[in-house]
Amino acid sequence: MRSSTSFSDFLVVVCLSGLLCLTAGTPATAADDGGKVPSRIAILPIINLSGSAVPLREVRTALLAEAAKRGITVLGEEELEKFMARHRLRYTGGVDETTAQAFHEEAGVGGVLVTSLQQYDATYPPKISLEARLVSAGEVPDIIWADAVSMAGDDAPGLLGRGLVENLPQLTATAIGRLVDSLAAGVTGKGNAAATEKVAGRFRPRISFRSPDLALGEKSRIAVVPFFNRSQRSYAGEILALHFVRELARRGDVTVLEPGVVRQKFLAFRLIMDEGLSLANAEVLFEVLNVDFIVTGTVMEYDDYEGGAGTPRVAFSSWLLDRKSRRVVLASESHNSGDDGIHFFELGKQRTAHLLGSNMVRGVVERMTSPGASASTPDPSDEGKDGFIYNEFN
Amino acid sequence: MKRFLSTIGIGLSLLFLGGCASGNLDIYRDQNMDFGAVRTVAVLPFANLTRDNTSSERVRDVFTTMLLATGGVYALPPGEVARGVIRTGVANAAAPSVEEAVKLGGVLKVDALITGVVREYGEVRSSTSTANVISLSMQMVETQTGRVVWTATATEGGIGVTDRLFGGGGRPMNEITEKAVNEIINKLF
Repeated sequence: MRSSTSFSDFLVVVCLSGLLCLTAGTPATAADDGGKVPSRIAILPIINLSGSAVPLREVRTALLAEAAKRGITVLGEEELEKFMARHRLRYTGGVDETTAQAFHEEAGVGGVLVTSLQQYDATYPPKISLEARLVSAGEVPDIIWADAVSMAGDDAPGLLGRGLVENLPQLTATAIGRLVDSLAAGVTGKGNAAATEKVAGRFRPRISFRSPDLALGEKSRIAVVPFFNRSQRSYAGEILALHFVRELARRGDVTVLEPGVVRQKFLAFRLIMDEGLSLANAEVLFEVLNVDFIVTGTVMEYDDYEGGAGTPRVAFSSWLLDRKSRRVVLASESHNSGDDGIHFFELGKQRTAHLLGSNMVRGVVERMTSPGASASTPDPSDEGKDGFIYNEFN
Repeated sequence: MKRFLSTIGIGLSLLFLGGCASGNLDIYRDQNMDFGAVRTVAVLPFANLTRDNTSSERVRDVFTTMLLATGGVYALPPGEVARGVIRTGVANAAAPSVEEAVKLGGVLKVDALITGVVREYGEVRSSTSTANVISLSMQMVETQTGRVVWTATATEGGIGVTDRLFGGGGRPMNEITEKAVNEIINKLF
């Protein structure tokens, strides 16, 4: 009896050691930042990128309630309002260095949650897309955690339509719940397993060029500037830039600059983009932001559909500029519709442009961060088969 | 009789050879130009003769990325090209004059400029059949002299026999755009 107890103790010790080893070997994500996990956070008012009128106050109230339910300590509303008034803080889509430091010193928070509402469609079946990131308060505003949720009422209709969600408030509550669950995992340093998910082949760029000189490492610093918007959708340029920020931050193998810091430099140096980023502007950004790479591009299509019939469409091109060579080291062209590669009963259909765009951006980021023709990049043998044009040259 | 048959044979052969003589009338390549020396190009905004306002920008975007992907030449990012056009004060960026082309080449430090025209882009209809079509033409202007050294055209899509017989609406616009651009690039290299 005693010996069996000892043996079971031994097994437990072995299992725990194994678990510890596995945890140590897990690639770092945006949330695995150990010392940077904040104990108290401020939740900024939600920024509306949906292009339509949205009850932001109600959504934010639900967000605060869900955060409280999960034991996340949040800066009080009155205190936040006073802080914002004192600093004349009107833009809530990002956090610059001065604001981050003030949050740390005056409000005593460890992080600031920046949330954007990118779709809020009450037409049946309803749809909602929310995106959030937690930025550390202090001298350097780093992205600690980033995630997004996009849902449609008919995502999982189930048998005889029993899984359909008909009203938007119910869908909103579910979406906020999922986002805050992920935030809670981020705050407690558990990270996000989805960050290393392999993207499906149909979402990879259709045409891409990757210079062999491109080598992204842990020390690489990347700034994402808003994409040039040629689509019919308002804020599509900002939304796509946020997709890139999130996907790069979630991978954790590069340092992505907080968009609030990038925006502040654009304003301070009066940088205006005519049809995209010029090399002169890029040089200014390389210097003032101290970054190695800049991501930029153009959005051609970012279309959602109303109601149950239809399919979202997203088309964009992206460029990665290198500080050393002052050249484009990655260029890609992506276009997809929500039903690409779907043949049976709409299984796997992407019902929102947000979800589709996220997957497509993940495909580009995969190409960006994976050197050579690894398993996660388009296989050169795919060339010409599914519209992929793959190249890598000196 | 033998002579008669051989005469007919020669006549037919000449007729077929004559048919082949039309060749590549949709390409022009300057024989004196060393295309291997072209390392960096600027793709200027394309002229748009279609009803779709964004078609020229979409085609330009695909063309620039595809040109980079060939590995043959380096194409400047569109933002840098726009800065060059503004700095040199080019009146019509889609069709620069010889002087403007030389000036642009100096400012952007490129070996050649690429201009283009999108002639057709979108859906065409014929009785009950519809399909997408694209028609492009492009030119390469050498920046030292401002001479046109290469031109090519490509047309893809349209209503085919199967579309007429069975319907179907043709292939997606993005797909035929990539095909047409690929065809044009193949004519360059």
